[in-house]
Amino acid sequence: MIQYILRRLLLFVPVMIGVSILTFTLMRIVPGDVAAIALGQNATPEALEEFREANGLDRPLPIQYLDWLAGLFRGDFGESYFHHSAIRDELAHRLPVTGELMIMSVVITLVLGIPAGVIAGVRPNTWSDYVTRTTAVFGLSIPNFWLGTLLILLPAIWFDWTPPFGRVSFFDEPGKNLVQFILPALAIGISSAAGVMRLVRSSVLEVLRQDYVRTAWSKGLPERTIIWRHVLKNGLIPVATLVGLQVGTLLGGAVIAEQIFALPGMGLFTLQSILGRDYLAVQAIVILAAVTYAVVNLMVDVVYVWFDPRIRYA
Amino acid sequence: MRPAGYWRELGSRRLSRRRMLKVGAVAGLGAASLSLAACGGGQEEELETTETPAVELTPQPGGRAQLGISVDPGSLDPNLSVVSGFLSCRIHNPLHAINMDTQELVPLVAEALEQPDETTFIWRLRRGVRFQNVDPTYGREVNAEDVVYSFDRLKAGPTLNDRKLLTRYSEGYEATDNYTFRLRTNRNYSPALDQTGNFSYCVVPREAVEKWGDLSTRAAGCGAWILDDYVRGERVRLRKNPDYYRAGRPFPDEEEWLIIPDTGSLWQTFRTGRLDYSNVNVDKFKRDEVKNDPSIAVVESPSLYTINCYIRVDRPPFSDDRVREALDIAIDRDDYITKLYFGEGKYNGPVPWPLEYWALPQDELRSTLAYDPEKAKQLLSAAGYGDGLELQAPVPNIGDCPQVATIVADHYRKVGANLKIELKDLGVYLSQYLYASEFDITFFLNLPYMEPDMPLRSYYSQGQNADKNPGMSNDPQVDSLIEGLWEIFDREERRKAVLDVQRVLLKKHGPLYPLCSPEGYVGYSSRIKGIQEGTGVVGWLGISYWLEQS
Amino acid sequence: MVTEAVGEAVEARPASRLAILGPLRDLRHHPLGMFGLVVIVLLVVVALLAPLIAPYSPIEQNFAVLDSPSASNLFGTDRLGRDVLSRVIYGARLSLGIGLTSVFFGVMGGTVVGTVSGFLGGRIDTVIQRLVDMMLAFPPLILLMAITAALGASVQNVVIAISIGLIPGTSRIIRGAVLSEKNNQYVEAARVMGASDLRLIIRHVLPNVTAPIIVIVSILIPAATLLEAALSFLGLGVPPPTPSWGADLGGQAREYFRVAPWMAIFPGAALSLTVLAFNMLGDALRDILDPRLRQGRR
Repeated sequence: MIQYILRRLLLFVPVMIGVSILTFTLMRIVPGDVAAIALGQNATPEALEEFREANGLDRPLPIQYLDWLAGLFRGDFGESYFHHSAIRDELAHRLPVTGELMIMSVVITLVLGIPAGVIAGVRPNTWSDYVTRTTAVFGLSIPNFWLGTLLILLPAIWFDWTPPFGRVSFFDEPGKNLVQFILPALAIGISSAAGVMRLVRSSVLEVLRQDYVRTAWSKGLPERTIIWRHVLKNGLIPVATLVGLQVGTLLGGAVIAEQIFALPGMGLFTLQSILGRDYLAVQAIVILAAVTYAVVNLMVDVVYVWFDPRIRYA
Repeated sequence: MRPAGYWRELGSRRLSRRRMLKVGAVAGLGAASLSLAACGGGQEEELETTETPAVELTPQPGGRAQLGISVDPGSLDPNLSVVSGFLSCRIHNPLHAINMDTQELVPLVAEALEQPDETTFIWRLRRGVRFQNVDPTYGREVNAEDVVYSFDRLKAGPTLNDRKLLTRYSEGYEATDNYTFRLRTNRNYSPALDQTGNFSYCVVPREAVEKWGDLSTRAAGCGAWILDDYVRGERVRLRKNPDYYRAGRPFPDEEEWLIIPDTGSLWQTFRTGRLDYSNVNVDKFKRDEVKNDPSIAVVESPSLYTINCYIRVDRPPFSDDRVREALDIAIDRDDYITKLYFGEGKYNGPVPWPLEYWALPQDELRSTLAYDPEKAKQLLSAAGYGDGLELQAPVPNIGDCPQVATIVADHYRKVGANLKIELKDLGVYLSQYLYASEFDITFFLNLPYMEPDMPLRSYYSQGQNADKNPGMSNDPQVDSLIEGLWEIFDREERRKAVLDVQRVLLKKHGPLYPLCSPEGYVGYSSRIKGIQEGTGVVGWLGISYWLEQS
Repeated sequence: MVTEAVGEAVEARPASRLAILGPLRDLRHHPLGMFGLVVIVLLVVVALLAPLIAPYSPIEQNFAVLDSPSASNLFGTDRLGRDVLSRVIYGARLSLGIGLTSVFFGVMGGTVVGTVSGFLGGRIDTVIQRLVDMMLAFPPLILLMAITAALGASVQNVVIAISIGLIPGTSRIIRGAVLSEKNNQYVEAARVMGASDLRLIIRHVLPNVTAPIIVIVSILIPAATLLEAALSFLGLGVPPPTPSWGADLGGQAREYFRVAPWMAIFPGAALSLTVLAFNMLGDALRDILDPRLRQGRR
């Protein structure tokens, strides 16, 4: 087990370096002069030159890359070209927002998806199975941004209500905070719940056919015990994987949810930084996202292996 | 510094004037205005109350205003940021402002202005104007050295727009004593007072800049509102400055500006009553939507942002007079207004119409720029383009620019001209196409101007950086006409001259084709009373309105 | 992405030598799947015949602005005076076009990469898999946003971006399938008889990879369609005035929702219906292609 984790961590390093190079290159091949965008139409050519020098943009690319990398190890993500504020501060400010959104989305996904999947799996081809499967497919098909749009428009029109904007921390005003986050979390979570539900269903179906379950069945164990003890434990393994992968999708879905619900999180920050050509910010975000994604997947794989010792990776 | 993403949201900004519309269930308001004779020594300011044909209301102090905007200001530093005037003027004040409707000088930090000769300006500072009672200024009095410091800071800054007075035409400036500030220009330059009345020239305290590096997110100023915090992407919180030199003002206790980037969500939030103001344009469909809602008032707020059409005149095809005229009158401006602004827009001249004092009258513009495709075709034929004409048009992918290009392309097709639109990312567009003048024709969104010299000179004459204008036009007659405007100090005289210069420019049909600007509207909740009449900086001070307490 | 999770399920399947028609025949037994297929066929027809079916041009602004649905404009008009029905019809063309094309290229690319990597093994495999790890570490939408920002907004670039985004995940799944095929006896036998690598790949390995490919394709087409819609919603996808369901949802449809809800409702419904149909068909196909699951249900 430890060996496995260590091996994975070792592989981590070259992958992250590759990601950092890829991000850096991607942002640099994006056409458009950062100086021109930052200073705008009215800047003098001297001011543009000064800007480039001050930000090290006139140095050769490999040097800029190494400099940036070195900064990363120090925990210094650099300063935004536009704001003179440390990107790290901006990230620290926005991560909790996206983090909270994602946690709530995952909770909703699991709370909706798992029970539905279990029911459908345990009672295949009954009306409850069909209903849940159809609902799941519908849920999967509604784009999460459409759902998000409806969740802000319909309450406004029907109940004359919109969420209270203006971010508050959960610890200061939990009520207001939850109200702000519940709708976007629903928008993201419902779409994902459908996927989880289908996966749980097929997984449960598969487990139910296993010999050890049949044995338990024939031994006369109550259904509930069978479900709890065997089905869930083994059937949920792929779900864990899926959730791990969801993190990536969630980061994407979060962009739109954050835009619509005005949550100042990483998603919106990413969008604005990409649009505004804030290279350093985008690089920082992508590295952070990649690291998070990889770490979460590593944890998921560990859980996977722990649950089912029969599985070993080559 | 421009905030990231600034260029993208430009089309929806409302840096402009306000006038109460008779639409909406708002009882008449009393409008207060200040005036001070501009020349000839100081006078006591007078608080005049202009009566509107309705009940006059007494301002009520207190309350918290919640305002929604879709664009993050990016930086609140008046000397560095060009777009956040509506906020930086709340925190800081310049020496004076100019009421754009009446063209009167409004005294702010200065109480009087003398102009003993054409190149000398002497401001006498008001006594008792203090920087806010916060760290690090702790309520100390503003003196003339602060003005020198602020002007120095602006002069050394990166953007050219508002400091050309200081960098090119100022002979020098100094504090002749604690309360007197003198500026001398090196030639006659009448836009000087327009420039110094703009928010870039706000007086800022040295110790705050030294402490924080800049005033983007933290500030201490001499304005009516104290900056509590500015969380980028989220909100700006201001609170009343109890020591503001206009006692009693501002009236509300707090202002919270919420940044809601999605205009759909912003509008819905405003509609459900959570906001007292939103900067979403309330066009006629939305006005229809709210007409029966007594809690919402709609105010005229034309935007000073304009989309201009530049043409490159130093080479074919636009080097030919006939082609230039043809393609100017081939633009169906009425159709443009219908398509882009739902019919709520007006023609622009070289100076856009929202700058009403300096703009040509609408009927004159409509007749000079009348749509005439037949004549256009004849002119093109005569110039040898009877078989058609290809035009390269790089267009930035921001705001309404792509749509404008599409509409004009439609019109041009009818006279046999083919506009090849190439959508470019903004960064690319600016550096490779606009600055380098690599285009036959292009469309770009421009910053607002508070006075006519800026647009005239930038587009027709010396350009932004005193080297070239985007259309590469080099016309000594135009240059001298525009420079000639600087010699005229009397506002009325200058106005007439500016109008005449515009007439000349229109006849040349280039290097700019003026398009149209929309009639803009914004929404306020009916809780807000007393919105300042008058435009630009005067409206942005935030000292005239109050909240109706129920 | 989700492809990985399904990949695991797919890998566990025994090789299936079904040709494509086999599963389709079996669809008879899956009413939802049939429904999905019918809808998709209709959509494809609409997309192909768009210029003939659509009453007007999707980009000409000829009508009254924000007009409610009427005899002349069945779905109403939008903020620029364009016919919403025509935009929805042409939008089918665009969304399906982008969805299908990018999945085609992405899956093809992923198959090539996965097959090469799995079949050749050794160091090449390791290197390629590390590269794939790298690409997979990027959150998908962010990668797409960065690519379209880098390349510029155009239909072509959106297809390129999505295709690139699909390659890593697909290659992983295909590689898994190839790995399990590689060790089959008949492959060994053919190799002993002197068949070249390429022949082995084409004649023996690839045909048995069809099942996973079908599954992947059935998941990815709706995913790609939604990705294009999301990108266009954010303004990073196809440039205006190209009719795209995502862009129409994203523009000013929400600002004018109270006044003209049809602007958003019709594109949104169309998008949902399309994705729904593909999901239903995909579900049915997966059920058919997995004999073990089939046992469980009958």
